[in-house]
Amino acid sequence: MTRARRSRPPAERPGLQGERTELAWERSALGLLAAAALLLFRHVGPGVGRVALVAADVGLALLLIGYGRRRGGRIRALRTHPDGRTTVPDARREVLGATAAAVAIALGTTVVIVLRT
Amino acid sequence: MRPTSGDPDRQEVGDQSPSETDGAEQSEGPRPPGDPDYRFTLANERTFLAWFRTSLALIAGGVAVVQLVPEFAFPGARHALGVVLTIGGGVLSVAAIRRWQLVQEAMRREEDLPPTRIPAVLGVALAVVTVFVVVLLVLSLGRA
Repeated sequence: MTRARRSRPPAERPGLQGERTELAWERSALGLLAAAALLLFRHVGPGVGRVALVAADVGLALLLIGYGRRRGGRIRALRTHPDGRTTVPDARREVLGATAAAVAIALGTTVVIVLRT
Repeated sequence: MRPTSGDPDRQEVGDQSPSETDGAEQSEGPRPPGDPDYRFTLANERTFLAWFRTSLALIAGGVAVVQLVPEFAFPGARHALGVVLTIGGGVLSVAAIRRWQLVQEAMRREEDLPPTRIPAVLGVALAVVTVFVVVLLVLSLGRA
């Protein structure tokens, strides 16, 4: 029985993979919060744009944390196929959402910098 | 690195296209054959996130240059630097998702991972920015 136990499919013992991936998402959210904090540091650009950008940063940080939790949940529900492979759905939607967020933040930040003071 | 599926007997076949069309949201139900081992999928995801954080750092750096750095002797140089860094961050995040997609597809087809020039391009760009900043600082010293 020990042998059978050792050869259990990974779906039953995903180990630290899920934790590491969830943490990677959360660390990314911290990047957005840092950008928000820097925007608040001093007055630059039109106030409305700056406040909107900070709000967007914080909102997207929360979104990324949500993505991380969702990915963690997926990983706890791993699928083992009959042929022995264990897979997890790829993070297509999360990756797209994060990229769209970064591009939007970059554009917004550029506009705020260009419309300086 | 060449990811392998758990089944060495499985032939390389061209019938794996369904996995490209059904997206990540069909979480319930087994994945069609062709998806890589979950550890590879997750490693690719974390690599994407590492690039994504790099791009966020560039954006935050752009904001920091404008917010925290005193004006150089050349008016506008600081804001130009901030804009360059910020746009670079946006471009890098697009490159990151492209890379993520190419790698995921390659793993699905059990091919070698495609080469990437992103690190080299980023390195050269950062070197150029560094030289630009150093020149600005030296010239600012000369004028002070």
